[in-house]
Amino acid sequence: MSWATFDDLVDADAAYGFDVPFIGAPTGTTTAASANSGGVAVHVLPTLLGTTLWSTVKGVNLQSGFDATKDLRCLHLKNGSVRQLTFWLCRLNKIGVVDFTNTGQRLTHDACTYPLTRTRGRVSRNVFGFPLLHVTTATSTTAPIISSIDYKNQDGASVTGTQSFTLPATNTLAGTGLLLSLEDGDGGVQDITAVNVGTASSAGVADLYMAEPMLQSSVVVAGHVSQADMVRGSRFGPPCVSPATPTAGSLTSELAAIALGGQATNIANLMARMVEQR
Amino acid sequence: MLLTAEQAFAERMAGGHDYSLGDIHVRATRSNPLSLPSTTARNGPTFKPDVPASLPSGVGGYLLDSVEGYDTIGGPWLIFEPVDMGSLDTASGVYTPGVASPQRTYLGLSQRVPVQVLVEMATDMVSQRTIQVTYTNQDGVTGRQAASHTITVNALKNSLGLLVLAAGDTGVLEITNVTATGGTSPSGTIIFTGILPDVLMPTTTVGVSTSCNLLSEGIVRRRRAGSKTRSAMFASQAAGRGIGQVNWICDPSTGPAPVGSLDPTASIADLMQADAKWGTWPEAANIRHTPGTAAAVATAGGVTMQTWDREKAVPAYHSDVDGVVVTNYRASFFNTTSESYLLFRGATLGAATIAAGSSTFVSGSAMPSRRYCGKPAAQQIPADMPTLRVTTALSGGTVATVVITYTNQDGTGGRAATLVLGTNPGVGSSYLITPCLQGTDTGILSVQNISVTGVNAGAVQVAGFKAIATDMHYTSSGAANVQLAMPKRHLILQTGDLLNVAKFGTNASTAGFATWDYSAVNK
Repeated sequence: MSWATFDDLVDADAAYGFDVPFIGAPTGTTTAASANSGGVAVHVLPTLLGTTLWSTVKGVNLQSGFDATKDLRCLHLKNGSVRQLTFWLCRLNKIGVVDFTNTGQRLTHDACTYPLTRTRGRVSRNVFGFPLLHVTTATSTTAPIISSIDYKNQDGASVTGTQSFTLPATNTLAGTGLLLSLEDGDGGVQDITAVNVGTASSAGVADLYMAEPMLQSSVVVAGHVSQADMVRGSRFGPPCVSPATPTAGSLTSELAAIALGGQATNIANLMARMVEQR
Repeated sequence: MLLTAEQAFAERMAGGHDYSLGDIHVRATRSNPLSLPSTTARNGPTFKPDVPASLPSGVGGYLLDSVEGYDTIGGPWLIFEPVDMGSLDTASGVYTPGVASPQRTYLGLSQRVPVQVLVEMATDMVSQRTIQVTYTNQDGVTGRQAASHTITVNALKNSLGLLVLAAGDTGVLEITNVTATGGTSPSGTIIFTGILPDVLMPTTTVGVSTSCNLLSEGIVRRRRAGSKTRSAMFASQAAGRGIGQVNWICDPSTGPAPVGSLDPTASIADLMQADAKWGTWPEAANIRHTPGTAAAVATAGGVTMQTWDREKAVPAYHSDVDGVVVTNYRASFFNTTSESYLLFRGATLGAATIAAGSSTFVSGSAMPSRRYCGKPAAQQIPADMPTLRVTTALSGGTVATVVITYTNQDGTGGRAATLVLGTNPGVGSSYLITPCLQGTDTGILSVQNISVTGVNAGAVQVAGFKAIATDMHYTSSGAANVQLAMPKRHLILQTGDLLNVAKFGTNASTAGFATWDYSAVNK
């Protein structure tokens, strides 16, 4: 039954709500973004449970046996970190892998077919998010340059990009997260179809995600705990954090925390309250 | 259409938010494109998080629910509905007209909201042009000319500024012409965008996100599918990246007829009822507290403040409406840490002119009667923030001392307030009288005399200000704090009532931007 009142939500929370702890692993130092490489450094914050940096990054571990097709809502989030940063709980939907060691179109798209869909504002709509590049193997010798990307924008229109994107250093460290540049007026991507590498590096591999924002919670003071109350507070409506539905194939999607604006080594712990809308 | 508070909750739960995203990446430092000092010309990226383009069945529109965002620069974000007011090809000098501020139902009447105008470099500029904008002002007076703006040489794309209007004007209904002169082989396009404000949000510290839950902060915005939403970031020209999320909930196309409210600030349900019945009036003000004025003498009990050199008039409303209340107020001053108040100027209580070392009192008006929400009878409203304003520079002496004889908040006459102003304050210098009231007095109903000694020439007046709302600015980038109207018993304002924005804690020449809403009160 859909929740129609505040009491419905409170009753559901009392009956089958659960807490999800997230014990963070140190990120290590990454490489700061520059004006030509996205402008903002992004930390993908891994959990200790199941993460093998950086080949495998695990996000929030949901309860064993959780049915991913259910409508799981996050009621509130408490988080702390050693850095004063903006945190965003996101669905990191993996689009594919980018190889920087050769020029040309170097995106190997996941077998999963995009766009993803989920119920938004009463109806099923295509999901869009921010294009996030996550370096898994450091670059070397040369800072690679993405001459352009091709993508489906927030409205589903095909866009042949014109903006170049230079990774911030010859040795852009593994773990570095960067937001790819979009064309003017575009706010997000439903899918990325091509990553055209104009200048190659002798090494370097990155995962490419569509980061679907769920909720935001800043750490205002380093070392202190912040919280985002989705029921009474900042959002006034708990977001659905279940994975979206792909057009076809199997979606690789992590419910992950990202931190914006820092490259110094970071470690974050979270506690999320979840409840399923049955 | 009508969305009750209960339905809004249910929409968030069952229907879920729809959302739009803003993402801008600015690779090089922008310029302040406008030439005048202390313009609100703080530049930066603009987001374009449009309202979802299509409506589900049974939905009449969308309601803006919350905004969340982050940027690497730090500065207040303004989320707004844009009005395309035209563009200028600086190469040919040809202005292509846009549209006027839209005619809609506001406060129960079909009328237009006068807007502030954003001047944006849509492309990189080449050379330097001086632009002259002709417009129709808030009162429908045509042929008004904005301040002449010389665009910064080679201003880059995305550089933003706010148009400085002619003296006394507070808004624009329509731009009728723009001319361009000067420059050598100039090129580039400038667009003019009217601002129907949604919310002004702070980013208090670089690295920390900002968010706003609109309904709980007194803001109702119903929008049609496909209408535009944009955001501008003030207070910085630096290169950087900003990303943000705007969340919408569906607004049903059917439902019980709205009935309005006797107090729109009593609850979210009342706020939404008032909006559904009458329509909310969104107000924006481009505040320029210029020039720099004289500081108060703290040791004499003075409080440094500045008042705006013009005032916003409360708009017209339906005959079945008793008046309007301010349901939210947010402000940002871009180069000062200070606090600001939204003030109702009930009256000019009196004035004095000084010549040849002698002052002459000029009678003013007493504070008017108004009703508070929840109180059946009107009552005379004391000015709780009466302010002495210098209208002609004081000169020819040293320290000016002003003695004001007044009737206090309880109707007791013969009370006296003494202010020590300092040396020769210039025009616009303002001094809060409240700390200098006699004994435990808290306000003024009327003024019987003003005497000024210590200077030989000049003029002053006493403005009868009543505080409506306040906002704190913790950082120079303008951290607008969340404040509903104060005090809790909300004053019901009437058409033509004048509102000023006063800034406290600094006398520096500054620019700022403020937004607030009027919501209608049922008779």
